[in-house]
Amino acid sequence: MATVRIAPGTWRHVEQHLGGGQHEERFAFLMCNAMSSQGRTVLVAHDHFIVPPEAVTVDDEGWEIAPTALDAVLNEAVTTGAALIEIHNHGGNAPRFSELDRAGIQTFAPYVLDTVPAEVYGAMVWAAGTVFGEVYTVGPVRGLDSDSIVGATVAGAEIRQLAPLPDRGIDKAVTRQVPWMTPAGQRTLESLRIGIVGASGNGTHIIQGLALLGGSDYVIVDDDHVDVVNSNRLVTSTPAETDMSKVDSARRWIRTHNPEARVTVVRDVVESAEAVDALRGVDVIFSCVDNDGARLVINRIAMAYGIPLVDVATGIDVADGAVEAAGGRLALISCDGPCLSCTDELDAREVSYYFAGAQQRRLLRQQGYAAGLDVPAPAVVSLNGLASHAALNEFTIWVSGAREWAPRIDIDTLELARPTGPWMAPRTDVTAFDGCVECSYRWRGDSAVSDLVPPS
Amino acid sequence: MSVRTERLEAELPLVRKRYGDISVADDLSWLIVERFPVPAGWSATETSVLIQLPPGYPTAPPDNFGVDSELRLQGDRKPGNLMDETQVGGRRWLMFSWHAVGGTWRPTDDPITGDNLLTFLETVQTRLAEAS
Repeated sequence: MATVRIAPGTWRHVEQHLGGGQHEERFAFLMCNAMSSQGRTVLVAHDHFIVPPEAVTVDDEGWEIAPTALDAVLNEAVTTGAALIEIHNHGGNAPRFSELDRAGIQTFAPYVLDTVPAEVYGAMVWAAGTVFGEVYTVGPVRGLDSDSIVGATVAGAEIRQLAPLPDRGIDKAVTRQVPWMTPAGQRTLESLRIGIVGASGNGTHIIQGLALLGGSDYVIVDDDHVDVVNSNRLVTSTPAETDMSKVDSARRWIRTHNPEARVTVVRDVVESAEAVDALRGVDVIFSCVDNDGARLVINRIAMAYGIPLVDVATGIDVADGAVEAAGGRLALISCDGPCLSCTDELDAREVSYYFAGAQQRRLLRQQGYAAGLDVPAPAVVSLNGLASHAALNEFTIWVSGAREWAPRIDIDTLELARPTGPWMAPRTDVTAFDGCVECSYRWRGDSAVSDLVPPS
Repeated sequence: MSVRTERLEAELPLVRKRYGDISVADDLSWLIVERFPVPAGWSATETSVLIQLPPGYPTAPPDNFGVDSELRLQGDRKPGNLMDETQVGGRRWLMFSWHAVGGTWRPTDDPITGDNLLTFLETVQTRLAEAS
């Protein structure tokens, strides 16, 4: 099985080109980073090559791309190391390969794989907004091995699943939410592989909500255990699960609602090699961590591998026994939207402490720079639930297209910023920071993440 | 090549051009400016300066800096706001508590504009100019 994630700008151009071919086949190539995640091929399309209509001819044997155009795209792939996916349009509503397509693939795929450094090649057909496709690798005896593309997502202004699951109808359990989600949105949500980092106060609310919404495929990352001191806010755990890993507890809960749910657990920190491998194959990440060091890692993974990100942050500030502030911040980051660094959400002090070695941490504690960072922060289930379900609700809006979703929402339960009472409202001035370092790592893949993964 | 390595390979020549000889850890975990000019008020006119480079650099700023363990204020006094001596790169360092605070560190994707190792070293200069 293989999945494809496509940069929104790339897809806009490619779909516009393919859709312009009323009575002709039009062709394009997606330029991809190829990787694997838990044994599944993942292709992240960050650029494209449009084959001009005049470079395409048709005869009795089918459509053909001019050698000059093919040479240009292959040279690009050789120079950049990109894996290629060829895509063209068909008529009708349910794209499938024709016999001519299959015959062409048998000839062209081995030629491409022999020519470019990438070890995988893909082919897709597009019709009426959906795609069908396969990926190919060289088989053990010089044959061609193929895998189905089971998901192709684009996460810009909306989250689209271009390769929908077979329509099995709407599960009776979710019929009441379909008017909100829309049938297409519901199918999209059910098709997504969802990463959740942090299975604690915010994370368990997210997990609970996604399971009830109909999510079916999860990657959950946390290195901690269920304990008496966190039992006041782990909504998917029971006292009997004390000392169980948080991710195992979450998996158990998900499967009580959907025994067939696919749940991969990583009992480690987010910057571990295992977590990075698992997360780079997801279609969306929910970040539910409690420090900005981990947030930097998650933001980096999202940028590097082109994954949309929902970050939930809550906090209660206490001084001399009095609560001074209590609220949260939600961030929804599309594949082309302002990242957490753009909007200055990453506290340098927390990031420094997170990545510091033992000696450096001792020095930072010694000078008082780490005050508050090495002790558990106050937390309450009601604030976690408020923020997490607000984030989930905004995510359903993103998936359903019910309205334009808000990239940042601030929550203030103590009316600190406005004298009108507790409030939750979208931020109105969310713009990308021109020259953002983290955004510059978009689509860079492993080279953008490897520095944050400690050597094993 | 990782993005951090790319970034440091772009910045280190800038440091070398301004300050002369530098030493760099093989894993790019630290940088030493061998002959950093020291303002008036100290026991020497130049010292070695150690900067430790975090994994998340440049988004994560450097924290603290070290100088030759023998550097003193005039009158053989130890400066204030010091931390324990530390050993890095086979040498002993007098460590100063020094951090970018609240939004003052803002690198950009262009190593030359925005904050970088040069601007951090300028703040080291500012700290040493306090001669306290």
